Amino acid sequence: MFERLTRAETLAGLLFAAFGAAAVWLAADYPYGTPTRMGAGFVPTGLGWGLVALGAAIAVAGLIARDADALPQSDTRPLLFLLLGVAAFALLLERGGLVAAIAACVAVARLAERPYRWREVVLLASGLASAGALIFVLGLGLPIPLVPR
Amino acid sequence: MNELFDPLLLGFSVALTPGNLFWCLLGALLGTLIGVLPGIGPVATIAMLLPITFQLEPVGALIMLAGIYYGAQYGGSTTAILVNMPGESSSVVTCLDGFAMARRGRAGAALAVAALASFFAGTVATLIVALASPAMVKFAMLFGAAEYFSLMAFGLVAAIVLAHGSVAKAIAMTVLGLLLGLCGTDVNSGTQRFTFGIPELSDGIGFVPLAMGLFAIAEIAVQLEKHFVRDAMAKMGTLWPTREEAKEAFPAALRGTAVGSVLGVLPGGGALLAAFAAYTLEKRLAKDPSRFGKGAVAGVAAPESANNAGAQTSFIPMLALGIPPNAVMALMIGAMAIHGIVPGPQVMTREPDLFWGLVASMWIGNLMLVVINLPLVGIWVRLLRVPYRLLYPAILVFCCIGVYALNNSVFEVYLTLGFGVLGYLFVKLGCEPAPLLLGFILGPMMEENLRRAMRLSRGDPAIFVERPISAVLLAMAVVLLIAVLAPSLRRLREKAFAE
Amino acid sequence: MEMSRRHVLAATAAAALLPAAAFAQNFPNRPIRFVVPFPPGGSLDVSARAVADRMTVLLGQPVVVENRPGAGGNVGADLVAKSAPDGYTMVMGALSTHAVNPHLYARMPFDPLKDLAPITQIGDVPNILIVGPSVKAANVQELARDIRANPKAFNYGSGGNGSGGHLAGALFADRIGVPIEHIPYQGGAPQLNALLSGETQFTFDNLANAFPQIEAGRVRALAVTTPQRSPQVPNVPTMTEAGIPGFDISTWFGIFVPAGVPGDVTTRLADAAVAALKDPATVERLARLAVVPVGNTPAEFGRFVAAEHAKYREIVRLSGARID
Repeated sequence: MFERLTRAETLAGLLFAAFGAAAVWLAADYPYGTPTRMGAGFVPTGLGWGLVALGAAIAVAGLIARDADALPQSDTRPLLFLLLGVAAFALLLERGGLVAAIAACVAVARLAERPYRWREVVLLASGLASAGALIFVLGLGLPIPLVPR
Repeated sequence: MNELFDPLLLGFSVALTPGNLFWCLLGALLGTLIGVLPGIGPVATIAMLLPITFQLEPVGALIMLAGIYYGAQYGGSTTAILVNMPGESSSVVTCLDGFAMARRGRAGAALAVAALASFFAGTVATLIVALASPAMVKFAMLFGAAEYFSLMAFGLVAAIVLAHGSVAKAIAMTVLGLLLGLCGTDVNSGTQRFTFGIPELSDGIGFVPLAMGLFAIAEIAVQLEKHFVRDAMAKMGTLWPTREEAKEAFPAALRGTAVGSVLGVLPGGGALLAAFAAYTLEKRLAKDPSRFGKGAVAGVAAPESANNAGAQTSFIPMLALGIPPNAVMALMIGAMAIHGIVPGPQVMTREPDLFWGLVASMWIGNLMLVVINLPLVGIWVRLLRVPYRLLYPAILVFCCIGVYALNNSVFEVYLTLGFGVLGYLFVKLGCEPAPLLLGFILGPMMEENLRRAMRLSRGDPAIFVERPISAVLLAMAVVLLIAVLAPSLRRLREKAFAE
Repeated sequence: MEMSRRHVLAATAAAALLPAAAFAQNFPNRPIRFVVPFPPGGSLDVSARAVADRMTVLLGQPVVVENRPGAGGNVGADLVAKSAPDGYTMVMGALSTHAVNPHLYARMPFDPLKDLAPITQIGDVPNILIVGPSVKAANVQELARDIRANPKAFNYGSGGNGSGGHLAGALFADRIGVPIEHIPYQGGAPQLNALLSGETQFTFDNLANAFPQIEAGRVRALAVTTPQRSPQVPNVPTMTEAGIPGFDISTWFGIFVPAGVPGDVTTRLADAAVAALKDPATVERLARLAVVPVGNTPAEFGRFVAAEHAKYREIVRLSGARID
């Protein structure tokens, strides 16, 4: 049974149903209105129920199918470091400026792939930091702080 | 005949002066640059350059601003094809088959096809702007709330065609996209929906963070998981399209141009919707639709020609009516107003230099772009030989800056991060993101027009079938839906019988 | 352009040691952010760029326009309200952020009267009542008569819920005593399109947006909503002249800084802004955007804003608009 539950099809269906249920639940707070003067909740509620139904159908189809694709093998390490890199950029940009944000983003995100050579990472970070500063701030004149304000 | 050629001659005499040629080239180059960079698009760039244009001659200023706009359409496809990162929102569709072609070692051909298809579309669409503006405006005026709703409904059914896997999952992704699109302040009542009290969400989820998360970040994560992909990339065939590829691309570009020219005139949708529609059309017409998403040349030529044609014809409402169909045109109107030019139908008669000069420069600019872009193909393709461990941090950094620069908002960077996770999940679960994006774009417009139509008809749904254009569009949607669902229903029945 | 960090640090340290007057002499010694809390394009944004362009010359430091749209201007205005009160961050406040939103939004992230201090009013854009090609009425009274005769045949469009056009329409419906269906659109352009195609019958649009259509004869202007006629459309009567008195709705905007900015810095900014609004080239640019330049003192502007804030409480209530 567990094998059937972790099929891509089943999980996808459950994910959709969850999103649909969340939409219905959140939209319950919005005025529903009438067909003439639809409230803010009218369309989201309808779509939410639709998504619940579709998700349930997909999940059931995944469960009863004789053979279906299992969830593919995953290694979430690269994703994790990518996300941390983006987060580092977001955290540092307005506090530490563009240069620091780019350097941190590269240093962290680069951990997602081996081999991690320090010198190469430092060169890459400084190269991208200068390219970013040149193109976006000096070239295009975007109002992004280069160094802390 | 003189009625046609005299104004065009006047236009070229204006556009070919050294000064205006320079502004045209500058605009096209700048447009290519911001097109290649993700996130930051023509709106932000034109807004920043606006004060500079105060000092310029109005013709030169508008020529440059226009160049930035359509130049971005050319540049946007480059990163879409090379690294699956849509540089411009309208190149999202190009990611589907363009990147697949690059994976097969046909990056050069994909880039060349994109540039040539764009040029072809640009030429045709420029002619349409010059000759058929009044007729196109009349056509656009036929579209009221009911017609828009039916057009969107048709578009949604088309979204399902975009996917090449399970139909049920594609429908679910579309619905999810519709729901995501509803996030933000409801236009009708002002209620904040799905915003969780976050002010940055009050105007909805941005398209760029969504597309960057679902496409770029998820793609990098998946690529890093399987190191072998890069080796396949290294094998590079000829840079130019083969005879077969050209044969497949040409009719697709022709149809893409037609679709793009028409949809570009309608406000709101413009280039982005055109690209989706053209892609869908090709997939329906193809002898072997299963090739789409795996590197079909038509899947690059059609959306690229459509988005460029749409970009050119979106000038029509601005030039012929003085009503901007999108933010770029709103800025162009601002630039005109500062110079004391009242945009609208009088421009053509009162400022013939400006009108025809701009039209001629659009064609010249397209020519420049293709001349700039074709030699660049070789350089871009070489970029793919850079080891991925150096390339991906660069993509990531440019993504982050681009997303931030959209609204100078760190929140959008976090949003991108969130959609990256979701995009990764979707890849693992075998759900394709393209229908979600189309649903996301159509969702708010569709709801808005549904509610508006019902208000206008005082609650009578017959408005959708009583108005002829709306009725035809709805009928087409139903027919297409049946055509899409029939095979899978048949399969289901066969399965049920087999059990 | 960017000052070296040591430079800035030194300047800040010096400023901390010296009395306030000396601080103002140094002001500004780095670029000034000018937040426009609306998307690019439109007369307000373009005016901000025109004024910033001139202020850059007058102050000797770049005044950089930054668009921070969202929530009817609340996102950008809130950002500035919560910034350091050093004069290096300004916002283009407007009718929406200072007079309408406080009564429209159930939750305001900031108090526009307390958290932001006025510098000067940049300008005013009159609103104008225009009718589409399908409407026969030649003046406001005839329009009112036709609406009373057949209210179901009339809809008015606006740029959105709680926009100036919506409030003006609601006020109009109240004055003529007939409820009229309001159809909101996303911004000025689509509502104008709807008027042209006959989906809506009339609208209160800002003059900058409507002028090209009036000039082309595609729509007819029935009245302006300001106390005086507009020089751009001198033949169009005011609402009062047309028989509907007490109808003064115009889209104004001006510069604000966070509350607590030292007085001499405020003066320096106000002087520069007012001087920019006296510069002939800038005045001409604004006029072409249908903006009537104002350029009053911070005190005058403050009184004006307080009066507008009070006035719109009732108008917003009449419209029935509310944002939770």
